[in-house]
Amino acid sequence: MKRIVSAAGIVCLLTASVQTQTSFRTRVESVRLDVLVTAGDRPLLGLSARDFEVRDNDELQQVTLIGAGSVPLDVILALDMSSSLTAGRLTALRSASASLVKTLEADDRAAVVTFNQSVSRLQPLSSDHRLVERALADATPSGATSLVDAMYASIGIAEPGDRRTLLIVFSDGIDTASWLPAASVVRAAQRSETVIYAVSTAAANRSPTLLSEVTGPSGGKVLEVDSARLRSAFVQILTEFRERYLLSYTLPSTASAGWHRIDVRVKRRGAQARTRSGYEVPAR
Amino acid sequence: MPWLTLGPILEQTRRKGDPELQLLAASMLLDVAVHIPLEQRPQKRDLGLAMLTEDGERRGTVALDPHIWVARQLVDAAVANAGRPHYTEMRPRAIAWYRTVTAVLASGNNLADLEPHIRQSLRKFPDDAGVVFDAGTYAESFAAPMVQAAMFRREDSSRRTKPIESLRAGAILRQALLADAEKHYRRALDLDPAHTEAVVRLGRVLTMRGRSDAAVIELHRAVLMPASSVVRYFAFLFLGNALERANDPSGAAGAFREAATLFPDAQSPQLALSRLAAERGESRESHDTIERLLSRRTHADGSDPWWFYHRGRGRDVESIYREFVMNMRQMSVSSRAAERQP
Repeated sequence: MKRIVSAAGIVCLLTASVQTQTSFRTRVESVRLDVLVTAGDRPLLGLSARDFEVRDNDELQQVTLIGAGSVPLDVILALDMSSSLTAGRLTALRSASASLVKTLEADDRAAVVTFNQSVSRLQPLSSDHRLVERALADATPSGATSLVDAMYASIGIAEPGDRRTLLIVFSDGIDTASWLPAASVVRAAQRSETVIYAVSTAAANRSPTLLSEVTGPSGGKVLEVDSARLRSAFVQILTEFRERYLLSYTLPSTASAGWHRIDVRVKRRGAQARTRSGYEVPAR
Repeated sequence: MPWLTLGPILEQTRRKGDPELQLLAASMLLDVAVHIPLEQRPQKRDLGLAMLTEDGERRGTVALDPHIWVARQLVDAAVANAGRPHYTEMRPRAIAWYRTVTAVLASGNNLADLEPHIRQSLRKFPDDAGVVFDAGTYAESFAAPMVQAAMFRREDSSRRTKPIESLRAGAILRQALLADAEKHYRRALDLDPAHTEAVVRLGRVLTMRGRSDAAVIELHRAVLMPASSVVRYFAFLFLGNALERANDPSGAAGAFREAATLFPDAQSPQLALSRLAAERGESRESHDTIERLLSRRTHADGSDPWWFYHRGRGRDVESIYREFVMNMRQMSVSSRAAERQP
């Protein structure tokens, strides 16, 4: 789709089990947090529940540490296949996706969503990881970019259950065709337990601000890389996701409806915690 | 160089030709313009260059189309004088030529060639509802993210094209363009109150300008007017959006469902319905709506008319162009018949 514009004129929880999740309940009873703890640029491992201080709307909570490593993953890849994707980037993207699925455990599942102006699920969540590679083999870039619509739909397909969900969004451009406004996907990210990472091949510090607005509240982040580093970026995200802590606390039945702000602190010098910014308790 | 050969002939046609010949020559030039790839356009220096973009990314520059430029002069010559004998006959044909060119350029998102074309069509036919409506769609399309993304960036890769670097400038221009679109749609409706798509587009522009209550009134009116299924789809989709912004989520859901009924495979109303369910706290319904949407393996290019909204009448370019060519052929045949008569 080519366009010419004039240049001249213009120029959880689980107290005992991990059976249910917040996002599919009418009432929130427990809150689950995926927390990444770093010291400097490195993940800080080996912490216990006592090392965390979690506040829900400024109220200190009693947290339980669930072994994150024992919880199977759902990894959703949302990949930009608009016409701005060059052949070189497409090859790098296929290779990066293949490398990522190779590092998945047998219990982990993966899904592939691609988008241009249209959002398509090429592969539903499946533990047959080869299907992901096959799904991408025929994908060809064309059309405009519905980044907001695609991120919204990808957050929406996370399934209720006892799994941890990671969404990796790859985009090389900016939204040019979505129906939904940007605020919708930011809200969806805030409501979801899914941790969202975005990989942008835009020049450094030039990726769309929307990506950081969506990844930030989920406890994820944006990685700006060139095509050559796409593969290592995908694998790095999955490794980092596995190194997160899974905390949960029970929400009192008297908890007020509306937005609950979450603050997580780690009682270690120099340690930084990254998790979702909060969650919403529906009106009862 | 064919242009060097054609140029003097066309100039002579402009100066001396009869109006019918001028219109036929202009139509031939449109045909030439349609079939020449962008990269192979002859460059006419005084017309300047335009930015070539793809999905919001700049891809270089391209010459403005000299064929359309010359053809406009021919058409303008054919209707230069309202006092000439054939003016009444020529005027609707000239308008048809202008509007066909607009549809052709809009279908290819060619806003650079469209800009002078729209300006000139308004100058020539300020009282034609269709021409004024086209000017509205042009302004609305220019305010769309696809164009704005290419124009307002933090970096600049070209010395020729100097974008305004501030995103605020982009927002100001966008609002000015939407104001312009509103003005044109209102004028088009003064001239032709039965122009359903002008009401629909006016409703959308009002919503974009923060006047959702006024938009709801227009769009409620629009859904009762006769229209094609595509225009009705737009009316319900935009009504849903306006009602949502006017704090009527149940009304909005009803409008989105109507849109979804018209185009069951369209993505936009389903996404909107999922979002409304999520806002009501009904996460299961929100999730299931997305599931149903994505369980269709792929979405055909034409399944959601929203993707083509910014092309205006360009979305119907094939039928518009076919009809135009047929009319021109008919004119040519009747002219020859008239010449044969003693």
